[in-house]
Amino acid sequence: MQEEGLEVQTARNADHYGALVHHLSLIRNKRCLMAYVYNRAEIIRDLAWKVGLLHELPCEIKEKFSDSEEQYFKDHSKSLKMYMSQLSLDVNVDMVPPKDPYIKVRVLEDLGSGIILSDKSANFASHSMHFLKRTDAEQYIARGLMEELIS
Amino acid sequence: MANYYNIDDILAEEEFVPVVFHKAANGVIIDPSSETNSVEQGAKVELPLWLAQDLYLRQAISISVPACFNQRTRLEIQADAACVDLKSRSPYFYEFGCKIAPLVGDKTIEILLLSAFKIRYKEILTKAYTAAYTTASKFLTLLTKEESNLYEAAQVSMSAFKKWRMGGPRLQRASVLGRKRRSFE
Repeated sequence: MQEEGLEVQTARNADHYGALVHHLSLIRNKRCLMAYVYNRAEIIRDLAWKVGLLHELPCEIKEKFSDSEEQYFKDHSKSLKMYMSQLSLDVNVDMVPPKDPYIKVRVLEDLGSGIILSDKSANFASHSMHFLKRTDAEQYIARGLMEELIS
Repeated sequence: MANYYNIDDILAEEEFVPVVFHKAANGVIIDPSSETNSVEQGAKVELPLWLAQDLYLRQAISISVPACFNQRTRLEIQADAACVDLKSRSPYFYEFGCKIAPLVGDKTIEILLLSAFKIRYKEILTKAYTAAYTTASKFLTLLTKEESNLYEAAQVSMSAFKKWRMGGPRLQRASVLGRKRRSFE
């Protein structure tokens, strides 16, 4: 064993260090790539949380997703939805209890008619104003499709 | 493990340090001007920190103090730390110094970093709360990445406070959607 130890020492020649530098560069590249994918996944999680689960993302964002990232977004939204339905509690709404459960909104984009909300069905034509429940309006405001009117 | 995925940490380790090789290395092009693709013993090259750290652990090199901590910087910091342009030396000045200190064996780096940071921190906070946009932009170019994070955090908390005072709209368009992204043409 002693002899083997000595042989390893003398075998550490120039090639060994060259291979070492190469190996360290590979590890470094791996780390950079992993960090890139990890940070993208974090942004996707943020999107799923803020923009609304399983709703359509704007196409400029969607076309930049790779296939596995789209799948990740869908799976993450599904798990969140399942969690919320098991708790029967929507954790995505505003945490501060509002003074008024209803809110006045103006529709910014054409969403089509006959959209069913929690207490009525409404026709969201562009520039129309509605008096909605706060929880319903929140998802549309977060996606930029409506704005709140502060009188 | 929290630093493995952290982009700031990765970028901080990209900074160059001057090293002296003790052992030769074959088959690698580290010095772009050398004819053969190998490094001989005793060669002086500039390596990025991530490479230098591991080679130092295997006792193949010895690291000397990097250029951003030289005498000129120290004198400038002693004169007036608040006006020194640390960003041009290295945008990750503090992280870089923290990583370098055990490798180089220079005890004065810690004291230097601490005193510089103390004075600059005071400046950052006062400027964040009081300066108008035009005067502040010249100051912002002097800050390292870590300091500009602090500055932005101060500004964000200030604007959140103002919004709370005035009672602005609580529900807003998600900030993630706010940036205009270029679509593929």
